[in-house]
Amino acid sequence: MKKAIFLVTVTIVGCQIASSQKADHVKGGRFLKRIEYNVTGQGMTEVDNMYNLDGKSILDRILFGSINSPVEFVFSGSSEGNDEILAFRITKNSRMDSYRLEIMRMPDVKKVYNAINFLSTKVNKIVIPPELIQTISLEGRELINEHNKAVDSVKRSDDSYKPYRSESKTFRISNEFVEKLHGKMAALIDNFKAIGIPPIAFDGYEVTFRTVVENEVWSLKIHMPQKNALLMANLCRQIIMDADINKPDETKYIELLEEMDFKNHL
Amino acid sequence: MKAILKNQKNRIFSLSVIVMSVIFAGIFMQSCESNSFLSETDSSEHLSEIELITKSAEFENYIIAATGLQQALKTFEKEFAIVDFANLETVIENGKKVKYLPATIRSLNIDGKIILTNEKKEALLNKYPQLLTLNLPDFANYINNCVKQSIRVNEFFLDEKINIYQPSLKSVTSEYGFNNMSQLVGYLYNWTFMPNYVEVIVVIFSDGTSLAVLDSNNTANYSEINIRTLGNSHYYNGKRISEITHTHRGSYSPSSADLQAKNSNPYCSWSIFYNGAFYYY
Repeated sequence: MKKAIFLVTVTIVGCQIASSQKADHVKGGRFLKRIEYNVTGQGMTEVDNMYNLDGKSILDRILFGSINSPVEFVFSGSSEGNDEILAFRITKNSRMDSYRLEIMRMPDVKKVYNAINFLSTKVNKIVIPPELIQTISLEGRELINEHNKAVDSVKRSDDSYKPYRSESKTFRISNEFVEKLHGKMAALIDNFKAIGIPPIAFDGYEVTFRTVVENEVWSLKIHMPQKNALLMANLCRQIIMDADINKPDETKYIELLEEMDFKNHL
Repeated sequence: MKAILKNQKNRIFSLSVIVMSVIFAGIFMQSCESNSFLSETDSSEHLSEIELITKSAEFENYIIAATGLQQALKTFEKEFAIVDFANLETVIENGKKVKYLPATIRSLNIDGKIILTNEKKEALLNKYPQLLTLNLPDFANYINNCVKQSIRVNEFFLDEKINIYQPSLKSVTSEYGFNNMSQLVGYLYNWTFMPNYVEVIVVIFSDGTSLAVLDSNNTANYSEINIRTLGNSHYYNGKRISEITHTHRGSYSPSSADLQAKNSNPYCSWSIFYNGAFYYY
């Protein structure tokens, strides 16, 4: 009997060890994994489609406008440390036969967050609790109504976000590199598993991986990534840094992607 | 018959334990390989550069000087806490009354060690300006590489009786207690000037005592802590928390993670210790 209990205990402990070894994120920072429709309204052509932007933050909208590109990446530092926002996306050209890499760098995180705070007042509705509504003048209530009516179109339009967008650099890239990066990023999001309870974390940085898979848009936002997610984040940052000095090296990236220890999704 | 059955049971049990051990060992080894793969891939492209820099005399000199300063600051902290300010050595110099700190503190020569560390740092950065672009974890990687292979650095550690493996023998989280606010502020102020600074979190309890909590995951721009919540109170080590603060060196502005931490845990005050003062957010 004692031996049986011992065996069961060993099995449970072993399984716990095994599962924690396999998880991508062990007692790590906050994360959000989101899968949803990519397009919510069909346009006359693919360019005119209404993309599902529900999962995009104000920062994502500043960086990427109103479309979901096949691959998107955002690195968001804090004023205490890596004080900048880095981002790239991979877009198809208008003839749909080749791809382009577009990178962006926005220094001074505090300045960007001030812009985000300002925009959040423009793109969010004002909700007043019923017990306080009487304390607001009729004119005030009308202004709030007008603001709330305008929010949906302001939120949808790129005009609100465009003034804060930084200049970007664009490079033509090979289909092979796009396929490899897209496949690995999709696999990372698909297989991502977290274990434990997150600590209370201060400062650090956050990354967002986003990719379009058939009719869905998959995104994974992580504060302080670990293991495979950290590896992918480092590669994505490397791509941006290299491209920023006009030296993107696809051969090196393809090698690193091939060495990544997780299966291609597609 | 019973003996044979018992013998068979024992064999099956032993066999099961061996098989399971092999499976778990396999999983563990696979995980280790995967982890080493991560770090190898991460560093492979800079391998030659790391070797070049970490084997240089400039890098060794910098580590030795910075470690000397760090040790002196540690000693200063200990000695300063036991100074009897009422009975300091007093002398008349050029007609003026001058009070001296004890010789144990004066002999530390902290000023000289700071100048020396800065000189070595300047020499290092002049030769390898690319080090300026490294973040703290990457720079720590360079230091580890140098410590691993440098005879000079290891001889210095031996002479100074520094055990670099000591942290791995301790628990993951280190804690330092304080009985009053002036002790705490003095500690934090000195801490932010340390050459090997990492963010530190301080938990101030409702009984007025406080605890500096240093997790091994902390870096110069990241820190973490685990607390517990019961009803409308947060607790650390079973004591009710009234405030949580963490250090910044860049600015007193809270990051989005700082705000998130506050919003998720609303039952205590939140502040940032920056440049000698607490900034509430």
